[in-house]
Amino acid sequence: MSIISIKNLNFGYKKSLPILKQLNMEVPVGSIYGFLGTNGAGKSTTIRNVLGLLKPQSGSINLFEKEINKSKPRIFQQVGSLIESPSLYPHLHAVDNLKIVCKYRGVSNTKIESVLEKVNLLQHRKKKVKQFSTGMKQRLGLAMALIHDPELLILDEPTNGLDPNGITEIRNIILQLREEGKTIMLSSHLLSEIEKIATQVGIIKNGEMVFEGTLPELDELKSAQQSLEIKSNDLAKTKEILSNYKIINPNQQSIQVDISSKTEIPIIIKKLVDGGVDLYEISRTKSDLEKMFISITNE
Amino acid sequence: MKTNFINHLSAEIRKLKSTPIIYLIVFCCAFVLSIVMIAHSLDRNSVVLGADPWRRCFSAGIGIYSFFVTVPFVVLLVTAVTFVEQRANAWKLLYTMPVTRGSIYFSKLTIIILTVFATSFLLVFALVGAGYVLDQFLPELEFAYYQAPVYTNLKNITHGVIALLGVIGIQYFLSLWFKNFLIPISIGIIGFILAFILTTINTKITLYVPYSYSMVVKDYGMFKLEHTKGIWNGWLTNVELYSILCFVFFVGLGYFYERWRNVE
Repeated sequence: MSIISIKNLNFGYKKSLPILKQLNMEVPVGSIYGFLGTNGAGKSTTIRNVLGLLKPQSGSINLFEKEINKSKPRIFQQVGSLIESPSLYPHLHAVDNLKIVCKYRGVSNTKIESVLEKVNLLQHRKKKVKQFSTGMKQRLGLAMALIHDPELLILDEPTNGLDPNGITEIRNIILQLREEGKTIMLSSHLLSEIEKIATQVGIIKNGEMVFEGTLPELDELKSAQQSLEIKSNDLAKTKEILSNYKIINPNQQSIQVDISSKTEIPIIIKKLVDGGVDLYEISRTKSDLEKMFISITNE
Repeated sequence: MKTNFINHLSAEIRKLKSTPIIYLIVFCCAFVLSIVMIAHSLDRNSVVLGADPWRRCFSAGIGIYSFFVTVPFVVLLVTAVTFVEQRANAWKLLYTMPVTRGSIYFSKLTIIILTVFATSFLLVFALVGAGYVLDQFLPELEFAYYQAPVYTNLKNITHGVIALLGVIGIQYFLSLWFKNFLIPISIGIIGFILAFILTTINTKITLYVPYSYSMVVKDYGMFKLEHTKGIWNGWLTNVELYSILCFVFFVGLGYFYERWRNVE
């Protein structure tokens, strides 16, 4: 069962400038869904559409198997969200910020202490938010998203601007939430972070979903996507001979060529030798998530 | 526990904690009171024996409030109330809550109107207090010999607030539309200056400028208003009706804007 289901979503601030194009997405219940894409790919726009902040031009968005246009705002009772930088009232302290959210959500204030403890801010509960560090603000934003114990948590770049300690803290909180049975959708451009915690991955490029699947499926794709690193006496000539192949990451010492199977290796070697290139080194590299992500989003 | 409009009002009040709005209210009342008290102290020789001093006190107090204070106060208040959300970048938080956008929109507007009413009523009671304080130092003003006309002046000031609704509607719309501090305040202050000039030159054009309605709704003897003074229609004056129409138009416009806008 999908907790978020998007079908053929189209959105643009102007009709002539589409940002999301026929986007499809399925977030399974109980998963940690890592939503990847370069800056401007459409991650935040997708999330804002899911949360009803933007009005789609066409397509459907279902949350908990209900169309959001027909069931909002009530459906957001089961959703907690943190969109980019958290929305906090800086002149108020942490408890007041949480009390405001409690009023809107119609939940009791009794959970405030426990949720502050969960995000490790209990000792700062009476401190004004303007005195908070970036990490503390992010954690308070997370507390505001968790105060009503939602089934679905949508986090847009939750580790943005955090130092490594802050990133680790947020990651641990997310893993703990998953153990509690929550479904979490998080977008990030920190690919290593997604790889560490996600069970499902969606990759968006120019407003279109270019990959969606589980981590094992991504691993399979990684195995299929391999490259050959070539060092030779004449890189310019090497590139010229291999102009039919996709060349990635060229630098002063070597070039990398995308191959789909190992049978292409002897063909490439033969072509280079026949072309008069002296080969110094040839090595096969499997793509890691970062390389594959760059490869997918640059295609 | 269910969420309801009262809860939303309560959330709005909490947001205003530790903001300059409370100082704004105190300043407005203190400004009027200090002018009334200074004027009475300096002008005690012109007191007419046997005349009700409260009439003069309230006329001066509410007159100063209506002419010089209410419009700038509303302009600053509305901008401050909406700016709390802009500063916190909180629209995206509010609109992902399980409440309608309309509820958020109208709870904020309700708080603004209630604050204007509360400040105006506070001023009436503060003027009563000022009268008794003056009586302690200047018994010749004879405040103690007459009863303070609280009810009449609460009624008068209520008409003043109704005449302000148009400005509240316009400023609320502008603050939501421009989403910054400077432009709505600038437009409001320009409106205030224009209204003030038109009112003092006693031209009927004031009836087309909502910023002047609170100045002309009742003649407090501050300026000559024979061409512009509100015309009584039984329950309300003509300018109060124009003000309500203006309020309904801009609040409706603002509502549809908020209801359909994309939150970027």
